Amino acid sequence: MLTNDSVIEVFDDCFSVDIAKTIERNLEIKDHLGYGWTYGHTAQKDNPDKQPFWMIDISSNPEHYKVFQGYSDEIFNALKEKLNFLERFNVESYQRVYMNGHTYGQVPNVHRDDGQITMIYQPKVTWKREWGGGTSFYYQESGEETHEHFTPKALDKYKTVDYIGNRLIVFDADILHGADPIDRQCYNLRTVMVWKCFFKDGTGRDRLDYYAGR
Amino acid sequence: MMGYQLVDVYDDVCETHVAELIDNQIRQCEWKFDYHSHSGKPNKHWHIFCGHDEEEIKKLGYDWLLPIWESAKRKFDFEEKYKVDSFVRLYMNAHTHGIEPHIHRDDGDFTMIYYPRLDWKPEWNGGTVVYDEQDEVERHVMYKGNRLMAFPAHCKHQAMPVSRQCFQLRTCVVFKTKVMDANPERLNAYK
Repeated sequence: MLTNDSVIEVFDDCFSVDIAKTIERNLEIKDHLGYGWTYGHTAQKDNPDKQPFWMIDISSNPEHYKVFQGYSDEIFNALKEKLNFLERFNVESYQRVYMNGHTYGQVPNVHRDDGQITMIYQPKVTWKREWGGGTSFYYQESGEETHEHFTPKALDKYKTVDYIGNRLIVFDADILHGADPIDRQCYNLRTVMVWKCFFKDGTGRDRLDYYAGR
Repeated sequence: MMGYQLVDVYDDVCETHVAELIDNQIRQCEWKFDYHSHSGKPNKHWHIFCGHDEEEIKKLGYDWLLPIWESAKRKFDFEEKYKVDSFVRLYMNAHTHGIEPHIHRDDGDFTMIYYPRLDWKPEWNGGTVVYDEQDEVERHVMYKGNRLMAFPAHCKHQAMPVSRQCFQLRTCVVFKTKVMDANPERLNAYK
């Protein structure tokens, strides 16, 4: 849930322009890779109006893992070192990595993530800001709920982080969030790479000196 | 005199259990969003290339699609009707609400489109329209699971948009064919 101590951090220009372009190219799914996107994944398991989206489950599918592990590990490790994940977020590695995608006409539902910290890398440097497709964060809704049984209704938006290529968003996994719709002028697939992370020491970020003074 | 209409529609192409198997298999497929229905126009749709012949199809792991062809060819006598005994390319297309493939013509002699989704509802639309040369609707073939439509490949046609009420992926299996005698005059009467 969103509190005064919640983390929503945005890092731009994560990689040099050339490397960012290479990452975008490498993550484009072309025929020669032999693998692609599967449809039907949802952010809310129990919502009857759920909106499925596209996914490449890198961690859970051995074939995907063979193809994408190199890319995802390389990106994660470079970011970890550059942005000092351990000191900032008490995160040393990820537990799960996947890619999500959606096109115009699909509006993924608002949800919370599993894990403790979620990291979303936006690889498309060719993406235009006016196409939308950012990530929005919402205030906590009152009422009883569990992680598995939550259907958000009237939520106030806290902030939107626009989709800008070569940008990383890091946030507490229990903050309500969702991918924004895509503008009708956009004919492309909006993709993100997502790492689900746990704190290194198994407890929490609030034990770290980095956050002691906040 | 040819034995086919401009657009032929065949229902119950596969036995029910085979149709169910194909439907289930397609739901597990991995797609690429890199295919234009009309080059130079903006809309793309989801696509899977499955092979040019049986050998390549088996190699690429799509042999479970072959019963569609075998069943339809035998049951509806494609050899006699279209002078077609095999296909030259097999692929799958898909789109969701918000993606609208363009009007286009195909290569080959006859295009045969199979609808695999048995749970598809008529109100979701997503059928295929074949147009005449004056751009009037020649025939609108609704999406219905286990249905196959066949028409001369040069005819303008278009996969129809999917309703906003539909959250599902509209999939189809496409067989591109060439007539056995390779005589284009057979098709000229329909141009």
